[in-house]
Amino acid sequence: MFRDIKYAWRLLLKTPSFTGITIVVLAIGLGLSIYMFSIINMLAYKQLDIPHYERLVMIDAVVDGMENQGNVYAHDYDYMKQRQQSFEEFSAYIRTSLSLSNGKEAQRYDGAYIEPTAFSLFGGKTHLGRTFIDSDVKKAFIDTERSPVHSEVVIISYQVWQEYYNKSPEVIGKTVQVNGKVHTVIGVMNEGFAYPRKESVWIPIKVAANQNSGQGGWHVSIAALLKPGISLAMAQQELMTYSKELTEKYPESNTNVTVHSRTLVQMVMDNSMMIVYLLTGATIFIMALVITNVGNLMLARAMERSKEVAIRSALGAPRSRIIRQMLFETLIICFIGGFFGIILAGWGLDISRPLFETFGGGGSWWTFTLDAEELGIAGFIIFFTALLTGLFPAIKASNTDINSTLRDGTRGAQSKSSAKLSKVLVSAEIFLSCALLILAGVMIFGVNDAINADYGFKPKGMLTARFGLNTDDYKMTVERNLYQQRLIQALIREPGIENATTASAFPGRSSGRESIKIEDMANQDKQYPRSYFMTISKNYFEFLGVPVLEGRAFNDSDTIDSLPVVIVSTSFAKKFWPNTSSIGKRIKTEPNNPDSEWRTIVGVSKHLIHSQPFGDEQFRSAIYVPNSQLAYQYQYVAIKTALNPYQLQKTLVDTAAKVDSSIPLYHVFSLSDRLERRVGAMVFVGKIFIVFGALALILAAAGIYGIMSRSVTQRTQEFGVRRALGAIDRDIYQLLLKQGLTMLVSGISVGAALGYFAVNMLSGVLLTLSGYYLMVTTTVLLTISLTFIAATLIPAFRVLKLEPNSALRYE
Amino acid sequence: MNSIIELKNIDKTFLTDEVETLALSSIELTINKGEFVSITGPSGCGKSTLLSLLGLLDTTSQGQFVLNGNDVSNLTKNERAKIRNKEIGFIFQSFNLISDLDVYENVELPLTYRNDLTADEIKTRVNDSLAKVDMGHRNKHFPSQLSGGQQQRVAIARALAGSPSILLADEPTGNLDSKNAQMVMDLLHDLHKEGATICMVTHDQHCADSASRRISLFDGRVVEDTNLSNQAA
Repeated sequence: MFRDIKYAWRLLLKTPSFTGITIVVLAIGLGLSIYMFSIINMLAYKQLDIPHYERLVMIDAVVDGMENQGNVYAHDYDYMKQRQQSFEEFSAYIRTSLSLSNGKEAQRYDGAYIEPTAFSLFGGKTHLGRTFIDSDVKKAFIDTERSPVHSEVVIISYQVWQEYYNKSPEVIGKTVQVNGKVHTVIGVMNEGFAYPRKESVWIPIKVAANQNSGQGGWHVSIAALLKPGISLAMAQQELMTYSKELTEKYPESNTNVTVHSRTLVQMVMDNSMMIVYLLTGATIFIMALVITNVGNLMLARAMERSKEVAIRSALGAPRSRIIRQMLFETLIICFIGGFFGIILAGWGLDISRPLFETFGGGGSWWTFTLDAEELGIAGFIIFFTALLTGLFPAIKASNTDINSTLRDGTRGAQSKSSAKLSKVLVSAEIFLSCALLILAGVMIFGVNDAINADYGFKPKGMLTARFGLNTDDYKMTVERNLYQQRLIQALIREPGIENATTASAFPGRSSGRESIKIEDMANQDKQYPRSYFMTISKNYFEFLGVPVLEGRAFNDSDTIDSLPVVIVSTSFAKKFWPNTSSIGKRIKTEPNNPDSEWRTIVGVSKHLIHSQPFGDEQFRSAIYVPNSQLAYQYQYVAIKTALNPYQLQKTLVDTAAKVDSSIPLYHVFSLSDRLERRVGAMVFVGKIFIVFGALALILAAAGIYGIMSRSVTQRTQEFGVRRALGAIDRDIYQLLLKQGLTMLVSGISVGAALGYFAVNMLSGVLLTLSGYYLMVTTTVLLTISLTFIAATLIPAFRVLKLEPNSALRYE
Repeated sequence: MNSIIELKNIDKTFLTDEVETLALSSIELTINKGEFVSITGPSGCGKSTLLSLLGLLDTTSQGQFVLNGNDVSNLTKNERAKIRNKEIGFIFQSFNLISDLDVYENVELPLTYRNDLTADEIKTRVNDSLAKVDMGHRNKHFPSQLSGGQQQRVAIARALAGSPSILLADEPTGNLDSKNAQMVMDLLHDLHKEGATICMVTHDQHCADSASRRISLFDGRVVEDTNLSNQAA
């Protein structure tokens, strides 16, 4: 065997250009594949370090067919919990943000109110102290309470311990104000623990049994552990039965409200699962192109060695030995290519790590590095490639007719099987690259659209931050609104700040959708219509530079005691009053809540996109209520400047601290960045598809050229004959193009059809894509046709440079 | 006398690895209409090179080549191709039929490169040519389904189809057994008797002597030019 390896090595060194090209193609192809499969594995399939990981299920509400995380009514949760048979554990949590304050300095973190049983499902171990026990919660909360907290303990993450407590070993037992209430730190979690998604502070809660069926209360997410032997589908089916019962009992609130069960990773990936499938498909296509290319190179090499193989066979070498010897060559090349591929993949993972943080809202426990598992995958990919690219050519070459090869082993004519194989390979390359390029092109345009989407306003120069008002000092709307107005005034006084405002959400940021009841309008569906609902300061539209098209903006006359008012978007007005003005009409949220007030429409604003800028979501309507009449605990503040907005980050944070030092600002981002983060996964996919597209084109061009060049060269004698009989150059070019037309047409037909299928499948789910299909497909078909024509004519040109006499004698 | 080919002071040199090799030197040769010329000589004497020049498959390094009264020494590739198509019929040692084309299509091939023939004329010519070599009944067969002798007869039919001024045969019996070789030679003699002008390269003395004129080459020069028609008679 050593002799065979040595011989294979010697042969590879003898042909450095072949070896070099093959290794480069493999390194790029394998690098990209390892990179992609590592990401896919980490995002979608990796075993997390959680006990009973495979049985852990996350349950969320589905409203109007849209998955709505954290939106199960506390009442519905309780209803299901009392009845369910599929789960060992069935517990609730509420993702929120929590402010830690030592009385002087406050800092806000992502956090969760979580039932001790739910917390224990994630299996976290403490670095210091202990985790929650049932007795940490003194009293269960009910749906209508203003705050669900009846606990005085808190657990913090390793990161908070590091940042806020400077890794103090005496942290356990210390008190800290969490959202203004004194809590005792009982535990510090191990580094990296950030469940359910990316939380750093946890407060235990308990949801009481027999919750109210009222609306507008607390919504929860559910973490549950399947009983052994119960599948996810069976459990989902059981929960759907309860959803149906709830819909029948409470049609106004629960029509079109169901639940969706999925694994933890599925939940976090959300729509991004489609991206994972898309990337998997595209990566497989790239791999297929690489394998076709390298396989073709290896085949050409194997065929060139047919005489050597015949001599070996004549001397008594068994076929298995010949195959083995040829396979060593492929293995050596693949392992060298794979080695560089792994380096490339590791480098790629390193530089693209920031992009992953935007995936599915960010799963902070993912670590994008090549560990043993990923290296195992890499090894498998390399070995699989070596086998596919090496075995077939080795078998084919070892199957030659010894007699005829030895007698006339140097005939230049292309054999029928070789010609057929060339045609199949070229068609395959065209088909693969065509489908991939169409998808890549359409994705790049779609992503570009998403990045540059017009949300209805210009976000340039706007810096936003979030704040949470503690419930003791800011219980009521009047107090909350007052704080906001003081903050706005203080900010506007600062140099460099042109304007400032506050709102519960800015465009592009998903806000809650509320059920809306319209006065004197019969409900056509069983359920109430829903609309995005925002509380805003009076200068919100002026700040955004968005006109109020009809009626008026909010002003100082809109107070807590005045007529409850609302501004609706044009999309809302047109939907419900297509032929008349909506001004003066009355609507209310929380239709079943008897305390809910009718609000009079005083203005119609330009439509703004409050969610994703593609699919149906971009057309969803919105309604706006003044902060002076309803103010939430958690709001955003925004400033506008002509400068780079981040230059004013400190001013913004410091000014807020001056207004009230117990209300820290957090999540400070420019509005442009917020919008970009919204499509962050798309940006990543767009970048990947640029690489895919370019690589597909290079691989296809190189592959088609390689095959056509070999095919044309093998036909040199034939062309010599044709020319001897009077064919001029044009006749030969025409012949080649005519013969190539079958390959081209069959390749691009299948490729374009597959591209169309993929684009249609993705359009609307991820992006608005179908509009680009025709334009991209035409460009791709043109590019591939031109590539094919060039790949056919360039080698023909080379062959036709020979005198017919030399062509006839070509060997 | 009606000369078809006139070579005046023709040289042909090849440059291989910066070494210049003189393949043909000062060739003076005239071939008249209706002649059956054999070109013979030892291996490497330049006979195949000479045939390539005669067939416009290669260019001369020096000298003048007149074909049918026209100077063809300095033509472009495509002009030479057109003349080959109309004036010259090739018969190769290894037949050089195209394996993907059937017998009919192989014979039809040179005619498809011309624009002056109708489909009916092409069909008539192909059928006539195949009839001449007695291969009409095999017109749907592919080369791989024929014996060597049959393949060479198809190749001769292909050479005849364009009604060329001259047939150039390069070792036409070189790949055949004696029986098939004789059959091909008989066919060439029959064509000659019907008026065809033939120039044949061969190292087979018997074949060379059966022509009406024998030209011997040695080291790229004509060393003998013998009229054999009297002997043959």
